[in-house]
Amino acid sequence: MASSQEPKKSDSQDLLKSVLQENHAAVRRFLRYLTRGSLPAEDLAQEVVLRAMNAKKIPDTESEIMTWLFRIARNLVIDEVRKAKRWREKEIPIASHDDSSEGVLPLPVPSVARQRVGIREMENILAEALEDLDEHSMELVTLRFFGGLSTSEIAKTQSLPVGTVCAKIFRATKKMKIFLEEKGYAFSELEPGE
Amino acid sequence: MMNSQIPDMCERAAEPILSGEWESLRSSDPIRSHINSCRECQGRIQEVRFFGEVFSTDEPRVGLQRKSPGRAPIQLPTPAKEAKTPWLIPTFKVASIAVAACFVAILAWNAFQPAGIGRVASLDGEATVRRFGSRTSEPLGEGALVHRGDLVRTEPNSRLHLRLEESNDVFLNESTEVRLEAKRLLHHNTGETWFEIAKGNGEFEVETRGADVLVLGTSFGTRYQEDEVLVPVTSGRVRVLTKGGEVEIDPGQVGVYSSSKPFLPPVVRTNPPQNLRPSWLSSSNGERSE
Repeated sequence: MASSQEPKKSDSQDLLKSVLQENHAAVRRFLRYLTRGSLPAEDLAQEVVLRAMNAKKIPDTESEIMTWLFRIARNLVIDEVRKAKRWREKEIPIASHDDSSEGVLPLPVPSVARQRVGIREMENILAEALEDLDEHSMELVTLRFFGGLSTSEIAKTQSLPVGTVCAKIFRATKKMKIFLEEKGYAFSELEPGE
Repeated sequence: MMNSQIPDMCERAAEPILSGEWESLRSSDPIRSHINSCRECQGRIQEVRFFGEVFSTDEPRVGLQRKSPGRAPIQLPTPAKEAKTPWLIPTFKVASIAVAACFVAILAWNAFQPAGIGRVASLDGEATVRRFGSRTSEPLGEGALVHRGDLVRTEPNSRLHLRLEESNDVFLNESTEVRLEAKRLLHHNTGETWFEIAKGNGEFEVETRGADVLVLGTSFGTRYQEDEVLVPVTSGRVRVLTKGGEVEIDPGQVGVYSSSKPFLPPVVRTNPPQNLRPSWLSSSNGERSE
C-alpha cells in the first residue's frame, strides 16, 4: 500500500516544483502588491515555497496548485501583517518621537525597473483597488491576471460555469476601474522610451 | 429583438476578450464585429489589457495618469524697472497673490467636488442625501444634483424620482435607501425601487444584498420582502447573479432570491400573482416602449 502511494506523492511533488518554478515571479509580484512594498516580497515568496513543499497534501492539477499557492501567499501576508502590528505596538512606546521611521517597516530598495516615476504610486493605488474587492472576486482576479490561468481552468477549480467566472472577473475589473476613477486616476499608455 | 441579442453577444465575447483571442478573430466574425461596435466590450478590453499588463509583468507598458486639472500658472507681476510710485509694488504683489490664491482655491475646490450624475426629477414627501465623505444627511429638494457615492434615502410616505445621466430613471418608494456608485451602478440597501433604463447606453447594474442585477434597456424593479428580494420585469431582459448561480428574467416574470443566503441560486416565477408595475408609481411616469 505504502509503495503504491510513494510514486504518486513523488509525481505531485514534481508537478508542484515545476509550477513553483514557472510561477515564482507571479507569486512574488502578488505578494509585492499585497504588502505594498512594506515587507520583502522575495523572502515571503521563499516562505510560500517552503510551506508548499512541506505540505502533507498537494493538489492534483496545475490550476488547483496555483489556486492553493495564492491562498498560501495571502494567508502568509495576513500572518506577517499581524506580527508586524504586534511588533509595532511593542516598539512604539520606546521609540523616540523624533524618529521619522517610527512604527513603519523599512521599505525594500527598489529595483531598477521600479524606479520609474509613478510606479510606486501606481502599485499602491492598485493594491488599494484590489483590497477593495470582496474575497472571491480578488481570488478570481488573482488567478486570471497574476496566475495567468484561463477562464476554463478557473471555472474548474472554483466549480463555477465559465460564463459566471467571466462575468465576475469583468465586474471586478469594472469595480477596480471605478475605484481608480474615484481616486482621480485614468489608464494611460506609456511611451516606448518612458 | 436586438435588445435580447446584445447581452448574449457581450456574453459570447467575454471569453475571447479575457483570453485575448478576440484579436485573432476574422473581421467577418459576428463576435468581432460586435466587439468593434459595443462600448461595453471596448471598455472591457481596455480594463483587461490594463490589469493584465500591470499584474502580470514587472515592467508594464501601461500606466496611470492623474485626471485632476493642471494647475493654473500663477502670474506674478514683473517688477517695474523704474517705479515712480514704489508703495504700489508691494500692494500690487499682495493683491495679485491673493487673486491667484483664490483662483487656485476655486480650482482645487472644483477638483474635489464629485461630478453630478443626475438630478431629482420629482419628490413627493421628504428625502435626504448623505454626500460622499460626509457624516451628516441633508434634505433633498426637486432639481437637486446627486453625485457619485451619495446615499439617498426616502422617508415614510414619500416617493422620489431620480433622473440619472443617459436618461435612466430611478424611482424610490417610501423608506428606501440606495447608494449611487456610478452613473450605471447603484447599490440598493432597503425598500423598493423601480428602474426605467434607456436602451443603447451599455449595461446598468443594481447591487443588492445577495445578488447583482444586470440590465440593458429595460423596465424592472427590486424590492426587499422579508428575507427575499423580488425583481419584477415588464420590458427587456434582466440577468440576476448570485454566488449560487444566475438566471435571466423575461418580461412578465419575477426573479426571486434570498437576501441572507447568497449561495442559493435565484429562481424565476413565471406566473406572478399581481400587476408587476407597482401601484405607487404615478401614471405620469410612462414606461419605456420596446
